[in-house]
Amino acid sequence: MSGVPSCSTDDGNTVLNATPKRVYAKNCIRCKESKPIIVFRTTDTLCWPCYREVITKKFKNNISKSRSDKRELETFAVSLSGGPSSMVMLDLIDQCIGENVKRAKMFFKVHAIHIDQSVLRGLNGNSNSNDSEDNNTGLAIQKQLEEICSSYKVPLTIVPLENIYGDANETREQRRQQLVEVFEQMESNNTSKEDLLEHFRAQLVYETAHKLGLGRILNGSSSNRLAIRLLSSTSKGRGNSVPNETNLLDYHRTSTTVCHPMRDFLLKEIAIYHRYLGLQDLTVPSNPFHSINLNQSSHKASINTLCENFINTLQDISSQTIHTLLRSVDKLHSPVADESMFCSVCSCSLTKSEIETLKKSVGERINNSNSNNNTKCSTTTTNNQATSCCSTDSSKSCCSNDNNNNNNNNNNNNNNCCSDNSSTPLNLHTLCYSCRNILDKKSTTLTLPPYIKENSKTMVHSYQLRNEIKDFLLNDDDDEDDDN
Amino acid sequence: MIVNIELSGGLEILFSNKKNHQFELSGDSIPLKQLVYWMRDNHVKERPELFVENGTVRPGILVLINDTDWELEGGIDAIIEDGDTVSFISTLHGG
Repeated sequence: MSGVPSCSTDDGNTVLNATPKRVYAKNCIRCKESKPIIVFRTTDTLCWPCYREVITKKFKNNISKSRSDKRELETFAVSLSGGPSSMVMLDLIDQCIGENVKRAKMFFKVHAIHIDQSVLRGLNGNSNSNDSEDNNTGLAIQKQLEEICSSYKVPLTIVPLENIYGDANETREQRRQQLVEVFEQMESNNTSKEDLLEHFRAQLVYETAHKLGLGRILNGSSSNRLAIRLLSSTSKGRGNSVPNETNLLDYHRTSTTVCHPMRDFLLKEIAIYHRYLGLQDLTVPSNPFHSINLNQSSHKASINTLCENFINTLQDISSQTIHTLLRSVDKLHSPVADESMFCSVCSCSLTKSEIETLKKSVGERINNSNSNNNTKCSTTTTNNQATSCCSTDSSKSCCSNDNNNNNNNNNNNNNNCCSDNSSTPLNLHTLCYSCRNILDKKSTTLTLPPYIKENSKTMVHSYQLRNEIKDFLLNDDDDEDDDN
Repeated sequence: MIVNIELSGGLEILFSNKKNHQFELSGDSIPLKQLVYWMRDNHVKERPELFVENGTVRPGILVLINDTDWELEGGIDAIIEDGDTVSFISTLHGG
């Protein structure tokens, strides 16, 4: 179409115009025969068999890029929500390693993990969803996932979201209650609710993968989701960890890597693939706080949904928006100031200034505890460090990342023998800026999952220990050849 | 003419929580734009802005015509004929 003015934002009067409509080829541009079903990457019209081939090839490419040793039989954890992206990912994995693959079969195994969020349904107050119906949807999703996983011959582990509080059988109801309360106390702050849910879910997947002994998690986030996350994370003050969250490989947890092999696919492409798989779409929106709510006329949006709308609108105007955003973030890397210093809630690494503030606050505490030195074991006085109950055993952990991560995973890890876990408040300095924003002012009233306090404690503790013995430590760099 | 409509991804909540609809319209064919407006005016009871925005289907909602990408048929200017199936798939907050 001629006469369509080009996009220009410099002049306040011109408005962005949609890309002019193209005329597409009548047949698939690859096989030149069949009727196309999709416009792929703005110009290419493809039929279903050709489309499937193209997608599978790209997916295989991403998986091989993310592996260091292609000959080693690794097992990956696959996080399955049951939505189109994760189901398509499961099918693509089957195209790589399934029994029907004749050529270039890849050498790895997978184990699926599904986080059951049914405990949160009904929180959004939709009148047309009653309890039994919600329960049924939850069960139906689980049943469908079980059937699909068994047809792909992939083992599946289902973990309820409330297990973020531990996994003892007898406390299940109590845990559900605790979780619901945390989200209820967030009141109308939808951004915080969504972020907290996201962090809890990621932590659970991570813990489960760790228990199963899997070092890599495949996450089915599409390019739309990652682009939205890029924008929303930046606006929430998570700029530091944005590259990690959105690139193909996410290294922010030292022992486990999260991989986004669906990063190259738009939701449109995924939805069409999903449809051609012929799966029943049972998806409830993965964000339980934002399913379309008919009761509230003033629909309160969150930063995440605003970013979603913004990106969707831009993508509609120019179909290159998402690719451009993701190509740009490709060039960035998240800085790591200190590997042993990470946020207790979301595990992203803390920035230099955050670490400084944390050190200062810990220093103040040491001084305070020195002044009223009548506790039964003080780890802080310099002259009795050898006799303190936290002996060299745990001091090792401050120097080794592996141990730190073990502590990070173990919810009920009680290695802080000289502190009372339940009563001490959470040290907010052990959180990153955006998690502090979520929990600020509420951290004392909320019953937070134990892993947060554990992480925070372990980190403060290892810092204290390291501080005590710092004069006796050799630098990591000159371990071997230093003569001190 | 008869048009089959499929709604998914949460969009069905706007249409009395029903996923599949069959609408009978006068004439042999109808531009998609008119069909969408007609659906909004006659079948969306609340919050129509979640379905139609700026004269087209809200960004983030995918449209398939007979299981084919609507862009192949001309997007919102596509012509819907008797017996066609139009699917609206919401990709918002899901997946």
